[in-house]
Formats: sequence, C-alpha cells, structure tokens
Amino acid sequence: MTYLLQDENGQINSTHSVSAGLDYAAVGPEHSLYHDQGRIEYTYATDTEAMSAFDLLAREEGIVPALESAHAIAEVVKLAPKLKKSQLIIANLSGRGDKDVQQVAKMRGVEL
Amino acid sequence: MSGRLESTFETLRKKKQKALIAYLMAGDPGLAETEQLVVALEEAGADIIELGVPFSDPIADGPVIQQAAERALRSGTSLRKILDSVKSLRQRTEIPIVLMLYYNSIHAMGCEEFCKTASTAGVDGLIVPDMPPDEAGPLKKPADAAGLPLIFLLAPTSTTDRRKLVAKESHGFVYYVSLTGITGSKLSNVGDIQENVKKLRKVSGSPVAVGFGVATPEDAARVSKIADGVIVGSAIVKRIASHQRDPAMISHVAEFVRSLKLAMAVG
Repeated sequence: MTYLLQDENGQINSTHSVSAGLDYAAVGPEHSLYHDQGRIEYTYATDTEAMSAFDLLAREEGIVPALESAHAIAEVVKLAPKLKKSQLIIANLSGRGDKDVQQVAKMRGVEL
Repeated sequence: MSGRLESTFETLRKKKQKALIAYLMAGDPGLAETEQLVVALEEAGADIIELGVPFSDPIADGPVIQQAAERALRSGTSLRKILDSVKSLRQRTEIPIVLMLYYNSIHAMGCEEFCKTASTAGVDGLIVPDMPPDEAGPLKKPADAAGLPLIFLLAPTSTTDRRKLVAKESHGFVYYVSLTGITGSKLSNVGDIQENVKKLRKVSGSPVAVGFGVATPEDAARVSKIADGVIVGSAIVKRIASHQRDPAMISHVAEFVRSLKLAMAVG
C-alpha cells in the first residue's frame, strides 16, 4: 500500500512540483511502510525553498544539485540551526542538476 | 452466488444464446442518463450491464473510457451516488449489474461498507481490474459475506497456473481479456482467443466472457461463437460521447446494442 494525494472518494489528485521527479501523487510502498514503522520521518520543501537551496549549494560548494536533491538541501538549511555544532548531517545528492539548468533558467526568465 | 447473474447465464444457455454484456460509464454524461440507458439497453437486447465507476487513474482503459470517466467525474459522480442509482434502478429492472471499478474507490469507502451497500443496492458482481486474485484478501471476505461474486480477469499472456487460480477464484463469470492492451483496442487474432477460451473452459466452472476490442456487430458475432458472453464497452461509450447533446442519444445507443444482439443471434 502507498500513501496518495487523493480526495475523500479515492480519486487521485493532480500534483505540482518544480522538480519533475517529485511531481507524482504517491510516495511508494517502501516509504509508506518506513513511515508507518516510524523508522523515517518524512518532510517537504516548497518550490521556493528548493530553488534557494539549489542556488546555495551551487554558490557555496560549486555543486549543482538536481532539483529533487535541492529539496534535501532545503531541509538541511532548516535543520542545521537546531543542532549542536558537533552533530553531523548527511544529505544525499541523488542526482545532478545539469538536467535542471534549462528548467531553472526558464523559471527565472533567463535565456540560455 | 448471485441469483441474477447465474440465472441469466442459465436461461441463455437453455435458449442456446450468448450473453451480451454492455458496458456503460456510470455518470456519463450524468447518472440520470445512465439509469435511462440501462433500461433502454436491456430493452434493446443487453443481457448484463457492466457499470464502470469513474476513476482518475484508470490503468486498464483506453482513451475512450478515460474520457468518459473524466466527463463522469466532472458531472459529480461518486461511488455512493452510483450505488444509489443501482438501488433506484432495481425498482425498474432485474437485469444483472456488475460494477467495474478500481480498488482505490473501494478502499476509500472501506471494503466492508462498500460490499454491504453494493449488495443491498442490488449489485450482482465486481470486476476490479487492478486487483489480481492473489491480492484480493481484504476484499474477498466482505464480498463473500455480502454474497457479491468477484469476477477476475485473465489475459492472453496468463500462464496455466494463473488460469487455474483465476478459474477457481472467479465467480459469476471469468473475464477473458482478448488482447495484451487496453480497452478500445482493435480485436486481434480470434483463433488465439478461441484456443485460450477452450483452455479456460476446461478448468472453469463459470461461464467465460470475452472483452476488450469487441467493437462491431461482426466482432460480437465472431466472439459469441467461442465464448459464453461478449463484452462491448468502448464502442458503446463512443456513441454516447458523440451524441452527448443529442436528445435522441439513448435511442442511438440502443439501436447499436440491438444490432450487436441481432448479429450474435444470427452469427
């Protein structure tokens, strides 16, 4: 079973995300199970937060993250101030942002 | 299990006739029209009505039925309203009505409540194309308790083991999918269908109905020679769509259904 974005009749809602890989109404059975077991805490980032994180990582580290991974960086930005200096955070950059450069440019009205 | 479904096949068998199973998308263009269509199609020769429940993500359906589902959802159709419609239809007709619906619609309502409500309303069977018999556990018990037969699908690619499983678990009839594709595709090799239906008959105690791709009276005649039931969906839905704003829509569709039944009788 998977969690779905759906209405009260079980009709699947349409979705929107700045990143194509997240523009999907379900999370998948594995993640749903981990959520139910309490093994993983799941969260979200808005399009704007993901875009800022995309900029931040490119500017600070010279790494262009995929827009999907930029959501993880956005969470790092939110989480880091709440942790001690000695605590480590590992963020998984699961994809490269080369594929998203056109999309980001388009959103910002930049012609490449 | 289901009185209406069983006795319909039995009566037809005695008359040496095959069942014409007419598919309608419930709520396309509206539920009032659907109710009128059920009555009109029975009068035109349909033996069983398969009522589609519109779903946002209908994985087994081609564009014709997808668009019908969109129209039905836009007209405010929901599973509960469809069950109300079946209930009110039961004051006018005893034609067997099976629902064709995707599992999420049932899951959202709750298997137990759905089965009870559907059975009380006068539904005679369930076709849930995204729920194979191995996954039917949560639905099987409440469906059995409510006396609702589950009708499973078998594909041309199904193996011998699957054929046996589907034959064993399927009640009312077995739905043989004529092709490896979606509803509304073109009917393919009738020889292959015949061979597979023959194999299925050996292991199934239930009648075998063939659907997907049966679009014309000629198709219906050919399929009726090899199966106990002929399911016509997209070809009917297409006619409803093209006559949406025509006051004579119902008689156009009924006329088509009459031509299907006639071809099956002659063929």
